[in-house]
Formats: sequence, C-alpha cells, structure tokens
Amino acid sequence: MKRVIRAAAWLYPRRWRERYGSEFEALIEDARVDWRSLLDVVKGAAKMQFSRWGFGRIAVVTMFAGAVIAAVIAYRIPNEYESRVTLRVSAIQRTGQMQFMPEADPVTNQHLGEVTVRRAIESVERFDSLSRIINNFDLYGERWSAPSAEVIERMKRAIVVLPSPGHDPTFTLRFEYPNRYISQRVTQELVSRMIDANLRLAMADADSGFSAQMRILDPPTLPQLPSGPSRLKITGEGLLAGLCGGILLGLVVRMRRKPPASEAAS
Amino acid sequence: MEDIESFSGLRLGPGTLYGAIKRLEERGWIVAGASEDRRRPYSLTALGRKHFEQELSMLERFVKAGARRLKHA
Repeated sequence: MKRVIRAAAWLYPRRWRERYGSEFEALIEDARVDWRSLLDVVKGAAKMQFSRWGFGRIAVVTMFAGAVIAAVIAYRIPNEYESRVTLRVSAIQRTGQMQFMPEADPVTNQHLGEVTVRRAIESVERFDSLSRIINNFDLYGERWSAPSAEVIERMKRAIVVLPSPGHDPTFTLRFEYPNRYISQRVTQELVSRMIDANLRLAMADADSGFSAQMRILDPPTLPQLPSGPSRLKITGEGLLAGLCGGILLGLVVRMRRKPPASEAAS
Repeated sequence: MEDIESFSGLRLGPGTLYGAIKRLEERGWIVAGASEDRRRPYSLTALGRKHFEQELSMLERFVKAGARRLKHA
C-alpha cells in the first residue's frame, strides 16, 4: 500500500512535489496507512491540481468529462428498434356501405381521422389493455406480475401516432422496443387492438351520423437498423452540460480565489 | 498523523495533512525548519501564534457559552 501511495503522490503538481515530495515520502514510510490514506492522497492531489487551474482549463476539462460520462451512459443504453404501421381512416355510411371520402375537403377528412384514431388509441392505452400486452409479450421484464404505473408510462411513451402528410386521413403508428422482432409483433398487436376498439366504438355510436373504418395500408415493418438512442446527441448534450457546469464552476472558483476587500486593502 | 490522532481522536490522512501544511505555510503561520533525514520540522511564526491564540480564545468562548446553555437546557 505504501508503494501505491508513493506512486499516487505523482498526481500532485510538480512544484508541490519538489517542495514537499521528500518529506511526504518520509511521512508515508513512518505512518500507518490503508486504502483510506490512498483515497485521501488522491483527493488531496486533485484539489491541489484543481486549485491551480484557470477558468478556461476548468471549462475545457469539465466539458470533456461531461462528454465522456454522457458517451459511457449512451453506450450503456440498449438499442431501440421502431416498427411502423400505416393506417387509413375511411367514413362508413349508416347503411353499412363503405364510402371513401376523396371528395370531402381535407380538413374534414383529417378531423374525422384524428378523432377516430384518438379514441381508438385511448382505448388501447388503458391500463388493463397495456398490462395485458406487457404480460403477453413479456415486455420490460414484467412477466407474472402486474406492471407498475411507471412501466405503463414507459410503454405509452414508446407508442407514437402521427398523421401522415397527404389528402387522405392516413396515420402512422410507431412502437419502439429494444428487440426488433418484438417491436414488430407488438405493433401488430397494438394496431389490431386499435381496429377492434374502433369497431366497438362504431357500434356504440350506431345512432350518430356516420362512423369510421380503419384499414391497414402497410403492415408493421420489421426494423433493420436501430432508431435510437442517438448516442451522438446524448454525447453532445453531455458536452454542453459539462461546458455550462465548467463555466459556473470557473466563476465560483474565481470568486473564491479573490481575496476579501479588507484582506486586499491590508 | 499519529500525534494528531492521539490528542484529538481525529484520523488525518496524509493528503489532508499536507494540504493544511501548504495553506498554513502560504499564510505565513508556520515555517519549515532545516530538513533532518528527509523529515522536516515546522514551527509557528509570530503571526501564526497570534492567529492560533485568537482561534483558541474564540473556541474557549464558544465552549463556555455552549456549556452555559447546556446547563439551562
């Protein structure tokens, strides 16, 4: 241990080593030391190095440290694969005869589509519905137990429904999961449940003017490449956070180094 | 380090001890003597003695006030 502590003394600034190195080594030889002493020496060396740094150096080092920490975290996050399915919503006449609405204005079409999709997804995203999917597909390691609200929220965040550009009310349902095959299967399950929910709602609304039908235009995709996480973005954010932290720290250090007015005057 | 531990009960690490020695020397409160077989004795300067006395006096007042309040608590 004494040898390790003597080696750790090299972490101190050169000027410190020249002044105190010899007596410090003599102290280590005489004293009872253990791993706490080693930690103490490393901490002391870090403080000594840090106290000599200028504003720019602090900012650069914390920026670099932020980027490295963020990169390590980013590479520990598993890949996510996003499966997509495209849906079209069409109006149904009360007689039951299907009627597409190309002649209706896009705003009306889009509104009908949005209402229909929102109602269907709300039904699918109910706690019991998502619980069943989580248990059936063994998602998030939650099998054989009721998933926590946190896991339900996590799954909700992984489901995204967005309108696709164009005249017809077309929507894309996306689901992200670390396993690409499961991602595709769960997307299929989600869209099936949405279609079922829409049918139930349509039957319940049989007295209203019209209801809507959902059709799958493109089946759920099997993702080939990961859709996230964006490791570069996370690293960049870490770099920025490190830079901001470094600037703050640099300011604090500068203020602390400035002698009080009374001391400076004397 | 053993000396500090024996009278204060506090275990001071070598890094902490040398951090303190450097600060005290920079403030002119202690001065290094001639090196003896790599070991270097330190002694208080007049400024250091004055500061030390002030600190002790403040601590004494603090201890007395604490003891007084503890008696009435």
